Amino acid sequence: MAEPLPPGLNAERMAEALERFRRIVGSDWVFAGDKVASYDDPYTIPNNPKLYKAHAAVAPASTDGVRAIVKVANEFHVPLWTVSRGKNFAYGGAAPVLSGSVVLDLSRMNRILEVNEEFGYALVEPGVSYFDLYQYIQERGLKLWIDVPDPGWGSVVGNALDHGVGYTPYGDHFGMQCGMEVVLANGEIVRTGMGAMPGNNTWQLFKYGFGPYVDGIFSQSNFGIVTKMGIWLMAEPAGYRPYLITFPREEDIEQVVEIVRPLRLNNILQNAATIRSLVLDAALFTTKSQYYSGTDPIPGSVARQIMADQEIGMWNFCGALYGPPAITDVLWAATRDAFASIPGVKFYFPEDRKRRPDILIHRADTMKGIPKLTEFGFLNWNGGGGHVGFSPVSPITGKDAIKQWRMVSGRVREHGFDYMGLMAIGFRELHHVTVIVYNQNDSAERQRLDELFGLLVREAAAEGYGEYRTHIKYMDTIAATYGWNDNALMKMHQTIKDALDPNGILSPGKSGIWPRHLREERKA
Amino acid sequence: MRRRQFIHVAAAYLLLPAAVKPCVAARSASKRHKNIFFDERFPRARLLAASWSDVDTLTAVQGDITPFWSDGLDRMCTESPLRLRGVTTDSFQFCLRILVGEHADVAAQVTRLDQNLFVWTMSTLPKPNNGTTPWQSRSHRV
Repeated sequence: MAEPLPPGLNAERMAEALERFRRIVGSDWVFAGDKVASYDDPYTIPNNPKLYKAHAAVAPASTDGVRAIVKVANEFHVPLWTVSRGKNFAYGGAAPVLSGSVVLDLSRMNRILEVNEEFGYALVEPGVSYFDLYQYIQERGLKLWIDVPDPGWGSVVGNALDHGVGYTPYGDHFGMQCGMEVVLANGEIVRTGMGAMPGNNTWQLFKYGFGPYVDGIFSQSNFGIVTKMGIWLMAEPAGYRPYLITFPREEDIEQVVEIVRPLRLNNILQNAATIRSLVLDAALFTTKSQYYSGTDPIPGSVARQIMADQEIGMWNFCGALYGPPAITDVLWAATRDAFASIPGVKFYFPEDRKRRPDILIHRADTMKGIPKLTEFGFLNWNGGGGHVGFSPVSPITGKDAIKQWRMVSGRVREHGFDYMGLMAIGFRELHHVTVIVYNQNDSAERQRLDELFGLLVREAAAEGYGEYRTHIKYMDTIAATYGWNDNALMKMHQTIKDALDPNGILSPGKSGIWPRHLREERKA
Repeated sequence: MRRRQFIHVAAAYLLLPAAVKPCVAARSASKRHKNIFFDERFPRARLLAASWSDVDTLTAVQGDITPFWSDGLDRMCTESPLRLRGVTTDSFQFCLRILVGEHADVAAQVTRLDQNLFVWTMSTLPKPNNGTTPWQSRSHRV
């Protein structure tokens, strides 16, 4: 199948634009024809192969290269879909919302420009992965920890821009970014915060600079191309003690979350801890068919067998204590005492876990910032599948947690999938991330997943729960749920979009934000 | 090979889907595979891997590529062409393919064996330097 063209551009003009891109980056770094397939979404959902399909890709090596590409894109009206490393799997990977876009692949911009141990930060380009940054720090013996999401191959910049989370006290990645360099659609380069002042030496130390704080408008957006970003790094603590607390009943989630809230607000829970469901944890190291031959969700008896075999609960709370023992001992006593009232609760440290591989031994690494790919194991639950995340946000209350769990797990099971969910504890909010694992080679199952996802979004929105992040297929759907006051927020996004990117060349459709000419075309 | 083991191996081969067999046969007649991975949680994977005659290194895995990647595969795939082969879960071959693909051109063939297992081969050829200054040599403010 020939690669699709974007609206309003014919094959000759596109070929001319690609030739101009080749002159900028070299012919080795413009990908067309069969080389475009590597930019496809590996976990595609729609059954229409023409959707979310790039026409080509171009990979510059520098900010100047990005500027030059943007100028050509403006001249030819070529839509560019920017990816840092293209590893945002479950959210679309490197695939564009608008078919026919040219992927602007920043993975060659992979320089670690500075790691500052004294002040605890790094300045990196978008192509730097968590593996890269971790290796850099380890090789130099720096006393710094990074914070990693589950897949270590992702981009430090890209994950922060997409509001990704990790599991140390620095788990809010966008919250830990400080200072950006951005190429605007007109080719101008902007440095945000203190970076706007020539000769300043606090670009990665103070976020706000002077005047409006603009960094946020470049996250989950299509208003500019971030080519450098500062990220704060955690000083290696004097002590570290990961732990696992298990709870035997699904309904325990209500009481668990009620206990978590004051612990988090009082900073007794120091890190971005998670409460994970049985199947999500079990699936890392076992498969469904090892326990159950049915194709429907596992019954309670099987769940109890898995719990016994793997020494985990229906919910599993993984957290960690950071600091000298004199401090962590006190924090642990407070944590343990708070949860002790839940019937059947069990407490574990790594030395208590004899099974290998083991969930706590694995998470002990991620909660100290060691990048891994272990979490991809859950894709094997049904024998190899795609996955998509449904991620509504709620307050940290037991009432909200059990309501969300009932809503989502009920619908997920009704549609024939096992519930694989986690509740990630933020500073004030709870991200309820449900991973739906599906057979990507089964078009009927993908259709069922699509129907389920739409239902989940609608029902969550009706209860006031909004998603914080989503797959490219659902960006318009989710954006539409943020429609307060006659879509005032989207109107503002569109005003900014039209001002900064009048030709609409940057990532059309990202987060539901479309440039003017495509808004009108879509209406028509 | 003891008689009982031979029977197990033969049975495992016979149980393979037809699509896999030509691939297995062709491979065994061509160059040796330097690295073979099998998922030790599944007896069928163990038996099938043992039946392959072109084995240099047989590595038992459990689904997670991380320890193998950082233990030398990352370096190997940038230095020379590799011939990799395995009978593993999907996540192992998927992650390996993506990781290797960052450093090398990959020709992969993947066939589903049963509910849990996939039989695969990957031939890799290192990519040219990506044209940027290696980050290892840089650590200063711009």
